[in-house]
Amino acid sequence: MSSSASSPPATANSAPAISPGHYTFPEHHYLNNGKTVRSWLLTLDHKRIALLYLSVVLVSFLLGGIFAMVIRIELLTPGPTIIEALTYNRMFTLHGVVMIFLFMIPAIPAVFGNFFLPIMIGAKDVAFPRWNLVSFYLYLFGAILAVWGMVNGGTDTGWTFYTPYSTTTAQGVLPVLLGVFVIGFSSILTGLNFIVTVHTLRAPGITWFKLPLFIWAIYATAIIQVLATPVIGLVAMLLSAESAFGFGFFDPARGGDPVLFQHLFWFYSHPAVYIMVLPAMGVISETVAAYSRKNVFGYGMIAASSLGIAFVGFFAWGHHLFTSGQSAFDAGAFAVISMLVGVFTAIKVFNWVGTLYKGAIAFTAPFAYICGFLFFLVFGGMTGVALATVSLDIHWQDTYFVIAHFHFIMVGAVIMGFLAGLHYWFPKMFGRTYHEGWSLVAAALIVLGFNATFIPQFLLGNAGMPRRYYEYPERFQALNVASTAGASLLAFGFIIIAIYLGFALLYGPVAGPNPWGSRGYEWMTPSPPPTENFDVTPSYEHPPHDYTDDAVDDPGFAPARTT
Amino acid sequence: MTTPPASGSVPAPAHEHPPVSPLRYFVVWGGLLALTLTTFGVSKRPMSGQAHLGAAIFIACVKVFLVACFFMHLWGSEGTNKLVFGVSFFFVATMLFFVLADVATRFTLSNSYIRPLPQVDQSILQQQRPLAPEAPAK
Amino acid sequence: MEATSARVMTAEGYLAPPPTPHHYEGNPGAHKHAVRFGMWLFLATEILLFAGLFCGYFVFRADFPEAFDQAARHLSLALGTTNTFLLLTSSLTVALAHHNAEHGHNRNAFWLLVVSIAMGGGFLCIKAVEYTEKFREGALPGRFFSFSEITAPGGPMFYVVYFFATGLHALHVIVGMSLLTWVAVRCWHKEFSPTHYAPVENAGLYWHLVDLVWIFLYPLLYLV
Repeated sequence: MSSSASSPPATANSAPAISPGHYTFPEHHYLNNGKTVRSWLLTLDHKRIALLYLSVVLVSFLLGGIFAMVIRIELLTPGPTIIEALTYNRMFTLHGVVMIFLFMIPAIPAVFGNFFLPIMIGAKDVAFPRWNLVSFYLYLFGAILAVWGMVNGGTDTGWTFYTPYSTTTAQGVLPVLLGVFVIGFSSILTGLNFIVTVHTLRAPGITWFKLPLFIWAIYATAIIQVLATPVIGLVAMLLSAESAFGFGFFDPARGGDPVLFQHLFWFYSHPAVYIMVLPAMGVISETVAAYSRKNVFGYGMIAASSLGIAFVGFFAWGHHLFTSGQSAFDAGAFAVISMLVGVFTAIKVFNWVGTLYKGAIAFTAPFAYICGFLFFLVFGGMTGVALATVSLDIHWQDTYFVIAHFHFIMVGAVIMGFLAGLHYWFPKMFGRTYHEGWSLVAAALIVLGFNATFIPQFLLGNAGMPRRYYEYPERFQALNVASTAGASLLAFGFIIIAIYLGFALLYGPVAGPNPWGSRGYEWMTPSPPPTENFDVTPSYEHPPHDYTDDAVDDPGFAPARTT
Repeated sequence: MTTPPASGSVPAPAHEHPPVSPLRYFVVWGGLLALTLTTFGVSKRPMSGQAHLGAAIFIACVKVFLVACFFMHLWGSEGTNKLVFGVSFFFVATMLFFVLADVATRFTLSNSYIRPLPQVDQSILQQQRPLAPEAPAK
Repeated sequence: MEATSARVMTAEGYLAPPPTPHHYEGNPGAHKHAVRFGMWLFLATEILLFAGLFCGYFVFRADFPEAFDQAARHLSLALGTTNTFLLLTSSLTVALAHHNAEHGHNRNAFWLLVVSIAMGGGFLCIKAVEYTEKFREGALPGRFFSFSEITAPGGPMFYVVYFFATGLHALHVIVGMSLLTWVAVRCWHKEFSPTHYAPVENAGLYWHLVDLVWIFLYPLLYLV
């Protein structure tokens, strides 16, 4: 270990800035190990697969965002604005399907999970690298099929495909369902791969209770992916058969039960939201320690609550059926269980705040996203507990209140988590740092824009504006305009991110192995990492996120390579 | 450079010494056939519908246990495999429980054993459920 | 894919095992565990896949007990029981094939797998006979139902569940047979040895799962 490439000394009282670019870019790393198209498209390197996912995931986010903007622009006026009613229905269907299945479900696990899971546990790759590549191509194929299906067939059922409309509509649903089915397989394979990797590829010295918290989150997510996703596969098959052949599984006129569809659909789709949020929570666990330079408060409780959320999340699906004709007994049971999830989330929030308390805060863009995350998770989560109260949900169901609630979690929490991870790990993945000033501008735009977009929607929903409605009464217009203005700010913020990160990719200053001075295990290797992840497998003497001896530079974080 | 085996990363392979005699498989197979005949026999006896269902499911569970333990080698296998198998059945049971609880307590139809709540609309009992139409009416 | 041409025939009469993948280097036990564990996780997904269908079965059975009773009586108990026998026995032969592969007796394993595949084919033939019978009777799902012998309401729902469950199961039988065929070909090439038999084991696990699903389907559809 050479001392000439040590990270800048950090004491308990100084916050590290992004290190100045006086490092040399590593000569051999995973990005230049093989420069042909074939070496990228047929790669077995989990880091390259992560970048393949990243590119498709970002395109999906752009698509979903465009559909969202169309919706918001249409809602500027009470009557028709830029599109007609049927197109509007197609827009929110596209927005939902693309955002959920093509972006949110794969984003953090398939990008950051794929990239960092092996590195964080000291492994050279995931357990089944070939299945990892298959998983990516299934995702790509399913995504193309779903989008083509919706555009071609004009699917207008909403992403929830409720019967009887989805089985009797003239608009096409079959290709979308097939696309969702294929993406489901991708999700299953990723989850399977991650579980086996965590069980069998941990380096010597990494016991279960020395796993980084991001790994605990990814592990819990993977369990949900494996157990819940097959059910949506079955639902897609049943719906396709019913739509094509009129079997009557969900048709009361033939003896079927439409609520059965909702039970089966939400048995997957509720755990799916935990597939989306748990990895974001994992990112926050990592970044909260790094940017307060403090050991995580309550490591064990955060790890346990990840598993707790995954477990309890499987028993809560009926809260989507409160107004659908479910029995009162079930409604009551699901209401109570849904509230339990709040307990585990609260445990995490307390622990994260406990980590920040008396830490040496570095107010960087990732930290701004952490702040946004905590604020939005708390409010989104509390409105979730409120919605779990059946009597309140009778009023709020299918209004903008629900939309605001889940966007607070999905955008406010998950996307903030994604952005925090993207900025935190950008130097590690690409070896370069980005412009700090612009990153803070973008973070401010996004956090403020988010507030401006979705707080009006809580008010709209509470006042009674239904969701998925093309036209609305005059009195709701002011709040809708406010929401659209906020959405424009959000969009602007994302565009700025794309610009400075794109610039940094090519021209950013060299990052060095550990620009943040973080004690996460993934920083114990050069930036970008070599294809085999390590030149020398580190010895994991310290627990993860350990800042207790930061008077002295931990030589484990200055990798052997100096040129 | 080879890394030494991970400490505690992998349970000791429980499978490295295969059973010497294949006789156990024939014994299990015989047991499965016997259980199938039992299930067949039980279904012929006059019992209430619920008892038939219960007996059939119980015997099926025993057969699944035998196949899983001996044909699929779960018996001597690593604990994680047993956990995976068990947990998947647990979640199937969860799905079944809540969905069936919904159907059982939703209305007080003739197949429900819950007495009607006073405020639940009983007029639904008056409605006939139609048979499938003669010609496809789609 | 390990290229069999790159592996050398050992003195015991089977090919030398493929090298441990590079990321498991130095820890072949972990790799073996990983392969088996991964397969069990995949089986868990298949179990959850069928779960929804069993859900549907119980829901409609609760809604239409008389129709389910009548319809179950009209299924051919003889054919159903024969199918059960076929699958249970093919599970036996697959387990024996695995046993032989573990000891490196590739030719025995090959023939046992052939017998298993044949039994799977027999299962499918009997299923085809049953389905043809259903088509003839008009005992079909949903809007195609025209079977006058079921007088209680809800007859079509039984056949929706019946066709979907047995159809999905038959699809898995076909997949299982394909996996067993692939593994059988590799047995023919004497690929398996006491240190390398995971493909046989995994294909076997999949086949046993197919059997497990039928163990539940048979009594629910045919007996009660």
